[in-house]
Amino acid sequence: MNIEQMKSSLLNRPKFMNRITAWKEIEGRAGKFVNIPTQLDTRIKKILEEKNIDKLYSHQKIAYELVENKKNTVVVTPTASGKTLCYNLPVLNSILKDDNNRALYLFPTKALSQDQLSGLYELIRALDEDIKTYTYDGDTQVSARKSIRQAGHIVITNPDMLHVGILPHHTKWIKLFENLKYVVIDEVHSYRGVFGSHVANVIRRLKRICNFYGSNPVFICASATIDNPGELSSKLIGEEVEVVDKNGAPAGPRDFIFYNPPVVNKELGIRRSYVLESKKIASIFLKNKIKTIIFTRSRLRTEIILSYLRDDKPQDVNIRGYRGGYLPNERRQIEKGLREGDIHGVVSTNALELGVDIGQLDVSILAGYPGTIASSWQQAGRAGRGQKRSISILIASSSALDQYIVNNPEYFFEQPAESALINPNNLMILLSHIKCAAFELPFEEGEQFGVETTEEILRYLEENNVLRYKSGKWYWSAERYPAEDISLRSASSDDFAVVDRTKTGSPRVIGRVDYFSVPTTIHEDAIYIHEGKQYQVKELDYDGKKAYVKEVDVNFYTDANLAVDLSILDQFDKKKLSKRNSEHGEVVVSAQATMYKKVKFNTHENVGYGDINLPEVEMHTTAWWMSLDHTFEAELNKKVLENALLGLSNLLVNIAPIYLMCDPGDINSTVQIRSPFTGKPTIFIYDSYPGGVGLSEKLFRIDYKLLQSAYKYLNKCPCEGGCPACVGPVNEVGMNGKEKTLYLLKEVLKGESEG
Amino acid sequence: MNLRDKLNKLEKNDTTREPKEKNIDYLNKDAFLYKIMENEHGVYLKTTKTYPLKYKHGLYEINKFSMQLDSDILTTIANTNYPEFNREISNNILFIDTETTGLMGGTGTVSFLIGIGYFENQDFIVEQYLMRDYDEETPMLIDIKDKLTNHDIVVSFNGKSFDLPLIKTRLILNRLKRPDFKLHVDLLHSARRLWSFLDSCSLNSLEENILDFERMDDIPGHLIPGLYFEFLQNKDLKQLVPILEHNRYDILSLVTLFSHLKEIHLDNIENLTAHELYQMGRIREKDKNYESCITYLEKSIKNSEQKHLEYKAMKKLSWQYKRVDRHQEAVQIWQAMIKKSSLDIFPYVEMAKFFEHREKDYEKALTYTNQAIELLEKNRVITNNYKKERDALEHRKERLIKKTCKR
Repeated sequence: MNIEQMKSSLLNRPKFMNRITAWKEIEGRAGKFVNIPTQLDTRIKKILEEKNIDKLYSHQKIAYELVENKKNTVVVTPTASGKTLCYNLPVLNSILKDDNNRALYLFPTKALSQDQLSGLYELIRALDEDIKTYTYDGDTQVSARKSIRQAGHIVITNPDMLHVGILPHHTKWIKLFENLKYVVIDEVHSYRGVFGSHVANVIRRLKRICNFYGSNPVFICASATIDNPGELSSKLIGEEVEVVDKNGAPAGPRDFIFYNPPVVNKELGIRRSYVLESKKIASIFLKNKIKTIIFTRSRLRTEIILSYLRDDKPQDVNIRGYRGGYLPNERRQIEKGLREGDIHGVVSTNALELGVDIGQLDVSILAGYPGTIASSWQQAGRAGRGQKRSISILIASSSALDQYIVNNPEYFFEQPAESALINPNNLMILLSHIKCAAFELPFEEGEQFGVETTEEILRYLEENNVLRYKSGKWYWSAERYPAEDISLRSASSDDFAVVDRTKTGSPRVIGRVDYFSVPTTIHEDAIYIHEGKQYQVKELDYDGKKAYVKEVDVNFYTDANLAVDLSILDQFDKKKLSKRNSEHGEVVVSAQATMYKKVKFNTHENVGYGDINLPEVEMHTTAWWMSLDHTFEAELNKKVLENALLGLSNLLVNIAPIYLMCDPGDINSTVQIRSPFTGKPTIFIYDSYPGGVGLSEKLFRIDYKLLQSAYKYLNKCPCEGGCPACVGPVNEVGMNGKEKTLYLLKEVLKGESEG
Repeated sequence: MNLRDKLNKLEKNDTTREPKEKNIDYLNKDAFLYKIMENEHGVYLKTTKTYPLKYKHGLYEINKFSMQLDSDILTTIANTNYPEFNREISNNILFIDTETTGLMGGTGTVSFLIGIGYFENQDFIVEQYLMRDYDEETPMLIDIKDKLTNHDIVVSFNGKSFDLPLIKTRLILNRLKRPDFKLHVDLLHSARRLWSFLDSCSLNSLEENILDFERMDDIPGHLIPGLYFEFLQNKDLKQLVPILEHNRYDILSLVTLFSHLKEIHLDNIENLTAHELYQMGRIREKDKNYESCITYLEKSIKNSEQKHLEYKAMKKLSWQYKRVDRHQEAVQIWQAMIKKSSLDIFPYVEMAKFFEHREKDYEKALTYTNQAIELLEKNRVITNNYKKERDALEHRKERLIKKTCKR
C-alpha cells in the first residue's frame, strides 16, 4: 500500500477511528522560488549548478540579502527548508572574497556541531578552495588546537566551550576576533530559560571581546517555529534583529491526527500505555514498508519501542534506534541508511528533531506530546517528501499536558507556537558573567554590561575583593578562573554531583543537581532517575556536594514532601479583578524537606515512607500570585478551601507549561490559606531558579487565559475525584478536591467574563 | 643578615616613592637595590642586582656558563635547529622567569613580577620588574619589552607553555607589540630528557637533587598569588621580599642548570649516575650518535646498582651493537642476560635471530627458539601479549624446521 491507500485504510478501522480526537488535513503548498543572487561569487554559483540548484527558496534569498547588508537576521523555518544555506551562503561568499574573513558557528550541543560540520565540508569540498573549517570543543585534540586558533576560517563550537575555553583565552584567538565577520547561532529556540539567559551573557562577553579587537560581526540566527523568534534573538544578542519567517519551501499535504488511548482505570484516570499504542500504530505502516519515524521522550522508551517493533516485523523490514549515547559512526551510518532508503523505520529521541540530515520520511509518530507546540511541528516535519502526502500522529500519554493537547486540538492548531523566555539580567547569572567578563578584560568606568546598574555590581565585587579598582578600571583580582565555576546549564554555581558507584572501583559522575533541588531529589534513599535508569541514593555528602548512588530496579519512585514558606519581598505589578487580585514580584522561598513517600509506578499507590534530615534551603526568585476574595472563605470551610486551593495550584502548574515553553519542573507552587501579605487565600506560582527566568512574569500577563484553559481541561478530565494529571490524587486533595477546584475556577472566571 | 632584617630595611626605604630615578637606595651590599622607574605611561618598581662572574650558585660559578659555549651545544640543549645570529651567544641571551596572580593562565592572570638575567660588561645582572598595582602594568611592560627585543635567545623554565604566552597575552591586552625571539630554550624540556627518572622535574627538585643548591626560607610557588593580593590591599612592600627572593633564585638556578646541562652534553662530567648515563645513552641514540651512545650505556651498566636499570641498559646496548655490526659483543650481552635468568624471552629470540640470519646455524637457532617457547609457556599468566609472542615464535619455529630439513 502507498501512503494514500494507507490513509483510506486508517479511515476504515473503527477501533482506530474511535480514539481519534482530531484529524486535521493540512493543505500542501507550492514553493516560492527566486533567482540566485547575481552578486554571489561565481565559484559558489558553479557548485550550486552542479548540485542542480538553479533557484533559491524566497526566504533563502531574503536572508542572504539582509546579511549582505550587515543586518542581524533570524531565519524561522520548519524542518527541511534549507536553512543552513541561509547562513552558509553569505559566510562562504565573504571568505571567498577575502581570505582573512572569519566566522564563528554556535550549536547548542557537541553532536550537532559534528553533524553541521559534515554538511559544510561537503560544500567546501565541492568548492575546492582552501577554506578551513574546524570544530573546537572538549573533544578537539590538544595538538590540533593551535592551528585551529590561527588558521580556522569557520570555527564551529558550542556556548559552553566559548564560555570556558575560548573567551577567557581570547589573546590566543587574535586572528579570529580581529576578523570576525559573522556569528551564526543555530537552533536559537533551544536557548531559553536558564541556559538561554546564560548564553545571552556569553554573547555580551563575546561582543566585548570583538569590540576590543575592532570587529563588529553580523549575527545570523536560525530558529524553529516559535512565537517570538525576533524577541528571543534580539534579547540573546542585545541588538535589533530582522525576522525572516516567510517560508518559500514547498510542502505536500499533511494529515495530523491526535490519538488518545482508552481509559483503563477510571478512578485514577489512567489510560492504556501510549508506548504500546505507538508500537501498534507504527507496525501498521512499517509492515507496508512505509518510511516511518517514531519520536519518544526518553532514551529508555526509544529502546523499549524498538525492541517491541523488532519482535513483530517482517524479515525484510529494517528498523533502527537513534539517540544520544550511540557512537558517532553508528549515527552517521543510520542517517545515511535513512537518506538512501535502506532503513524503513527509526525510533528516536528528540536527537533527530534538530538539524541532522536524514532526508524525508512519510509518517511521523509522536509517542507522547513532546512538551511544546514548537517541538511537535519540528518532529511532525520530519515526514513529508516534496509534494507527497505525509501523515503525523500524536499519541497522548496520561499526563496533564498530553491530555490537554489532545482534548483541545483547536488550541494546538490555532495557537502560535510558544514563546521562548529568557532573562539575561537575572542577577545571579549576570553577576557570574560580569566576573568572567572582568577576567577577560578590565571594566572601564562608564562601561555597561547589559544593565544600567553595571557599576553598582562592579563596586560590590570590588568590596568582596574579587575585583580591584585602579585608575578608572576594575581589574580581575583573584586567583580563581571564574568561568570554570560557572555552568551554563544551571542557575546556581553550587551544584551537587551525582556519582554512580554501581561498579566498584570506577565511580563516574552521571548528573548534577542544583542546590535547591537537593533536598527533594537526592536525599538519602531517594530514587534518582537518569536516562531511564533508576538509581538509589546511598549516601549524601552535603558538605562535599556529592550524592553517591547505585543502580537499582524497583517498581516505585520517591516523592518528597516539601514544607515551603514563601514571603514577598517586592511587588512589581498588580491587577484588581472582581473575585481575585493578580500580582507578580520578587519573593523568597524557603523550603524544608520533611519526609518522602515511595510511590508505585502506574497505580501511584503509597508503598512506604521515610524521614529527610537536611537543612532548609532558601531561594530568591520571582513569582506570580493570585489572591481570592474573602467571600470564598465565607462559603467554604477552611479544610475544603485549602484543598481547593491546593487542587487549583497543582492544576495550574500542570497546565502552565503549555504557555511557557518550559518543563513542569521549571515552576513550582505553594498556597497560603491566609497570606500575611495579601490577607487573603492565595496561590503562588514561582520560577524554580534563583532570580527567576521570566516564567512567572509571563503567567501574570496571561493569567486569564491560563485559568480558562484550566477550567476547560478540568471539565474534560475523565478521572472521578482528581488524578495526578489534573488537581492531584484524591489522597492529596481530598474527596471533593476536584469538585471544589472546579467551583473556584467557575466563580473566578464568571466574575471576569461578566466584568 | 636574616630575612626579617631585610624586610625591615626594605620597608624603611619604601618612603622613597617619589618619581624619577634620583633615589637610589643601597639597602645593604647583600640586599636589594630598587628604584621607582617612570616613563610616559606611569611608574613601576624595578630592582637590580649585579653579580660578579665569580659568584657561585649551587654547583658552579656564573663564569662557567660561557665556557665552551657555542652554537652546537646550544642546539643540543635546546634540542632544535640553530638560527643565524650576528652576536656572541652569551651577550645575546636572556634568562626569564615570571611570578603571576594565578597558576592556570587565561587573560585574567597577570605577571606582576618579571625577572630577567643577562650578561653585561663582565657582570651578570638580574633585573626584576614589579607592578605595585594594575595601573603600573603598562609602564612596566613598555620598559621590559625593550629589554626583551634586545636579545635573540631566551632561556626559561617551562616558559614555552607558561611564562612567554602569558607575557604575550599581557602585551596584547596593553596593545603593545610582541617581541619575537629567534630561539627559546625551555630548560624544563631539556631537563626532562635527562632526569625523567626523578620523582619531579620541578626547578626546586632539580636544585635539591642535581644542582646542589638549597633555598632558605623559600616561599612555595602556590602561595605567591595570595601573598600578592594581600599586598595589593596593604601595600606593604616587605611582604613581597620573599617573592622577589624566590624569583631571583629561579633566575640564578636557570644559569646553573644551563651550565650543568652544557657540561654534561660536552661529556665533561665524570661522575654521572647510572641513571644519567643511561638517559645520555638514549639522547645520543636519538641524535644518531651510536658510538657515544654505546660508551654511555657501557658505563651505565658498569655503575648500575639497580638490576632493573642494568637490564634495560643491556637490552638497549645490544641493539646498538647490532646497529654498528658489533655482533659478537651483542651476543655476549644476550648470553649474560640469559645467565641472569630473567623472565624475558628477548635474549633467546635475539640469539635465535643471530644464529638464523648471521650464522645460518639453524639447529642452534631452533634450540633457542624452543627455549624461548618453553620460557613463554612457563610465564604464560604474567605475559601481556602472550598470544602474539607465541604466534611469532611458532612461526619462527616452523620456518627453522623447514630450513633444517632442507639441509
